Amino acid sequence: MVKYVLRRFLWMFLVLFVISIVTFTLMHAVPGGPFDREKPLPAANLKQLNEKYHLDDPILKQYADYVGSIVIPKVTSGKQVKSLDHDYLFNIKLPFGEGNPTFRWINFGPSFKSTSRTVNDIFRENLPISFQLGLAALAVAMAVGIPLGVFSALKHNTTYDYLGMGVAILGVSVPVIITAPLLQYFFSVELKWVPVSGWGTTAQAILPAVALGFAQSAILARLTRASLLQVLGEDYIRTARAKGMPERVVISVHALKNGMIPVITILGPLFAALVTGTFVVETIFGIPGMGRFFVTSVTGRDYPVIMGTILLYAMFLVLANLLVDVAYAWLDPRIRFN
Amino acid sequence: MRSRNFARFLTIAVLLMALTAVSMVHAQDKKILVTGINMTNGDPESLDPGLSQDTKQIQILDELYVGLTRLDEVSLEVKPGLAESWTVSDDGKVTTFKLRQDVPWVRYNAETDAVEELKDDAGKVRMVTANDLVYAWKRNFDPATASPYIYVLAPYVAGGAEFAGPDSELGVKAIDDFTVEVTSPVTAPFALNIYGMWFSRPLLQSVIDDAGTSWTEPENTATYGPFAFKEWKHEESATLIKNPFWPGTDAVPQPKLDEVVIKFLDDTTQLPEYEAGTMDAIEVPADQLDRVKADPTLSTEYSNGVQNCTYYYGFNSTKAPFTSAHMRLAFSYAIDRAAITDNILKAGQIPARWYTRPGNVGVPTVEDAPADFGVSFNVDKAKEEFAAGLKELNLASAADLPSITLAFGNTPLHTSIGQAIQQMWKDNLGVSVELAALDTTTYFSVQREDSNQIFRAGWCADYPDANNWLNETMHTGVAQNYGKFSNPDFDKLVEQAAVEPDTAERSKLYAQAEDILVAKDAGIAPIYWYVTKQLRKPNVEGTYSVIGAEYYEKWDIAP
Amino acid sequence: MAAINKTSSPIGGVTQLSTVPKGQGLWADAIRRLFRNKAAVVGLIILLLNVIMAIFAPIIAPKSYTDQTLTQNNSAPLWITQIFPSMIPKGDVGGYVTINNDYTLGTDNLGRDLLSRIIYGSRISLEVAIVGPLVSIALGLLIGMIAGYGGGRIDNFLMRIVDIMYAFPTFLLIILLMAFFRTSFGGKHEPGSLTYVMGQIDAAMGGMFFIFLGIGLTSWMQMARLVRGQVLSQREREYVEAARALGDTTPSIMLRHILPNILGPLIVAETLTIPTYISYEAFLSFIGLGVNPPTPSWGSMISEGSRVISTYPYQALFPALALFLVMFAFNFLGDGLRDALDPRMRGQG
Repeated sequence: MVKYVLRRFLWMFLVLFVISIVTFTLMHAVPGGPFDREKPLPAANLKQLNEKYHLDDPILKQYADYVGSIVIPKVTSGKQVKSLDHDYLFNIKLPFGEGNPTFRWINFGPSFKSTSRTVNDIFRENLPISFQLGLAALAVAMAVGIPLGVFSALKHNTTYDYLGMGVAILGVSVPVIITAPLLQYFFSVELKWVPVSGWGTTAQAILPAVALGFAQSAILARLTRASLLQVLGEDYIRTARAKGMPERVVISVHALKNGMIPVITILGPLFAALVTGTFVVETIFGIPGMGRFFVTSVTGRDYPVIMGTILLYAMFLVLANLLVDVAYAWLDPRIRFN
Repeated sequence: MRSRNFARFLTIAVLLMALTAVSMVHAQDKKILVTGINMTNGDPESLDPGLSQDTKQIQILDELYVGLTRLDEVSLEVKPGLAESWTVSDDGKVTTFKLRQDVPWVRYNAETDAVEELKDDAGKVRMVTANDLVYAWKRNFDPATASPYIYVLAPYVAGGAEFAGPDSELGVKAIDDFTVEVTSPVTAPFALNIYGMWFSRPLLQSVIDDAGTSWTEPENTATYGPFAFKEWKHEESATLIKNPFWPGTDAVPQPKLDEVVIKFLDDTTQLPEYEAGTMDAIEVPADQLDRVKADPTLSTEYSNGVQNCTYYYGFNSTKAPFTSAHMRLAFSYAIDRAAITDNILKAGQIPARWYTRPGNVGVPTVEDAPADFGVSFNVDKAKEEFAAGLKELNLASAADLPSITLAFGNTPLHTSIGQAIQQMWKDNLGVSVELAALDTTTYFSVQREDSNQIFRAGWCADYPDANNWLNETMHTGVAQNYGKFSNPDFDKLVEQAAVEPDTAERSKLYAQAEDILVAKDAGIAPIYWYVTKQLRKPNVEGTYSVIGAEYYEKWDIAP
Repeated sequence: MAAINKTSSPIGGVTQLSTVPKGQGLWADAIRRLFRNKAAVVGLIILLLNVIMAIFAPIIAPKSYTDQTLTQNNSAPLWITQIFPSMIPKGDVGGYVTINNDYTLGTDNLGRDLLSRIIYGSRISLEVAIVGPLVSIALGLLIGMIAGYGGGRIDNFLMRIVDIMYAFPTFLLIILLMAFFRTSFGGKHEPGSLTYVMGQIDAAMGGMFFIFLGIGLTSWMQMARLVRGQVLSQREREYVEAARALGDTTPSIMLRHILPNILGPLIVAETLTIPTYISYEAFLSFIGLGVNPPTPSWGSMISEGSRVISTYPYQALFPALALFLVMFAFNFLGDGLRDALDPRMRGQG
């Protein structure tokens, strides 16, 4: 088990490596560069900017430099002025050596668009916000979706079932693009219960979490129901019932545990999607999160931010999937690791 | 157990809410303006004057720094800013500025919650000096800085265009601590404007050296304008606080507001914020105007003003069928501009008959211009020119035309206007034009490299002079001239006008140039002139800027 | 019921399946079962109506979907203003809505008939709902089954590919495809070249071709993981072991025994993803990568309408209603199919 997890962990780096190559190639193949904008720059300026950000280097060198600045740690001494090229995620003061040596590691480079910020700045300031929003939304999704699914499965083919699933379908069928401004209009403008936009207070988190979570809850509800229905048809459930076990125990102990397996498969990617795929909600509710960078970096050709966000997302996903697989084994002992 | 926890949670929540309420009451003692004007979703790309270029950035920089000259946001006069006065040499090439001697560098201190003067090593208050200006110019011209906008200043300071690094010569000199001499290779009546623009303003070298790229953060920065920088919540808002050390001049008075909170919000979110009463001034999204203008309350808070921009379609004069000037003119005549401004835009935008927006120096006003000046919707003329165009191209009928593509960045506004004009061309000329809605960056790069046959473009003035429009965006070979419009007569006229000191004479030259650009040679089809469309709460008092940036030091909130 | 119930015992199921003439009995049974499910039948009818609407759009639509009447833009018939009290008709205090009863569902911001655009929009939305899932099911099934059944190294390798694909930057791919081919309108590419042909296909599909391609190529992974998960838990089961003991080959076991058993959850999952595909299209419109105008699609109509939801709510809500009905149909049909296809569900309904 430990060996398996360790191996998967090592695999992650290979995955990240492949993704970095694919993304790097793809983003440089897309027409347009970070300095293309409404008021075009004279050629001489464009040249200066390309020099400043080393975009005039051969593409292979650019890639090597990029990977190098992330992977290769550095030990520097003396006072370090923060600059776009030197901003490391890990800065550990070393207890030995002269002139205050510091161990520095992981530099994702400067943002080409936010010209006074680095990608690390963006991670430090905006990622936690997206994380909070994602967690809140996932909580809403699970709190609504799983009970709804269980309820519908137990009342299979009754009016309650249809009603429950109707609610779920409503959630999944109406895009967030509509629910978000509607929620905002009713609860913030008309009723004035919660603030219109912003981030920082619980009140500000409610609408975005509901808007995001409700849509995802539908997916969870449907999956829970389908999976639970299948489990309920299993022989061991029949056996448990035949043994005279109380229905409550049958459901909660036997059925739910196995019925959760497909649901868990989806939780990892779901969470990753919630943390990163929040562009619409962040835009409408004015939340300073990471989600928008996944879109704006691509539309604005902010190369280091594209790379940084995609690598982050990839790492996140690989870890989430690893967790899912471990949870799998725990829930279904028939699955072996080999 | 669980219910007790819940009760505890509730108590805390109620306490927190009470606290918030108390602090809000307290906050009301201060005059705080919450505004979204000139802002969109997302962070300003930078607040380094040397690296800035868009409206969002300029809006904030105009409050933090004041140029040598200050453009009056209503009358468009060039007024004294950081310079008290200036003299221009007889040949018009050397300008000597006398700087104010009472402007200190300041920074907001979060611990004391106050704006503080910066001191030098000797403990003396550090004033804004001529050397700070010289440093800023040299730094911004340095290729290592890669300033995206300094090229506007380059032609009007000796050595600007050739500046290669710190050792290069530049025609700006500190005569003494408070006297600056600028030497320009050419005489240009509008250069005074440029000397006051954001990239020409003093910077404090020690701050930039110490804090590196993070010097623009409020805790590191040094500014001197009417407002100081209190807080920058990235991707969310910037808070400006009154700078008590700004001396207050006629053009740039001491602010009456204590703080200005500038929110970076999408326009569709600004309106709900305003309606909920949490923002004081916003720009109304175009598609919500109907309701705003009809609403009994909102309509009284709504106002229109001039915005110094033009929306136009360009033709690529190197691609068939627009190699023919007749054909370009035909497509221009066939656009019913009033139908667009009346039905789609609805905020009182003006159908544009020529390129440079009226109000700039050297441009005819709509009232003064002869009725047949420029270009306007005219189906008969469109058909006439279309026939002439076909003849010029040796084509028998419209069916022989190559396929024509109109390209634009895929935003709701451009898409609506593009579809409306597509139908006008179909109705009036019988030509089916393909629409290519591209993601904006692709769109810009495609236009820069090899523009489509017809493309959407726009221009907002950097400074209110026809030179900025005609010479800097339509001259042969300049970057904004996507369609490769090139007319020797036009070039000669705008070059001549650029150095002509007499305004009346310049106006005549520019009128001829406009005639070539939109009518005779039809390099572009102007579509409309912009207006602002703002909502301000009734207790907000202030000026209405026609230059884009609002000067909040002239605003106030009535109790 | 009782007779069918008997077959649900594992060994019984297997012998039953291998004696029935190939597939027929199972599927005929499934179809019979499906038609007994009222909700599924309603769903099927809605979908059929939708297909008819898409095919016969030129006949059904009351007006052209492109013709603009700019002076009548954002106008609505009286009944719409009665449903949405916030939409005050012109003439009343604060009124701003032009009343025009000629248009059944009102007009959009260019004065085009909203109903006609919704009817034509069903074409795009159906295309997304069919092409996206097809690509996703095909790729997902193939890879998921091989991974799940093959196990070990194969599993590991394929799952890493899935991991990689998950993190694959979809936007980049779509922007790349669209930028590359859409700019080809301008005669930059010679007629007859691949880019030109692709550009033409895209133009014919209203700019949706590359969106399909991008979505299809980057969305099969969830399906693959789900399939793998199901296969993993199915392959240890008695009936599979029994089949193996009876000498069935691996492909045969997968196709005849495992596939029918995992099809249920897959169909449910896929019908659930269809709304995701369609709202993905709306999202792409929202960020400026949507259909090429003036082609109508529900997604782009919803995205445009959402900007004016407090002023002209009908412009977003009617296309959203159309979308909802189709999703509703897909979901109930998917559910019905699941019940019908899962042999072990037979006693439950």
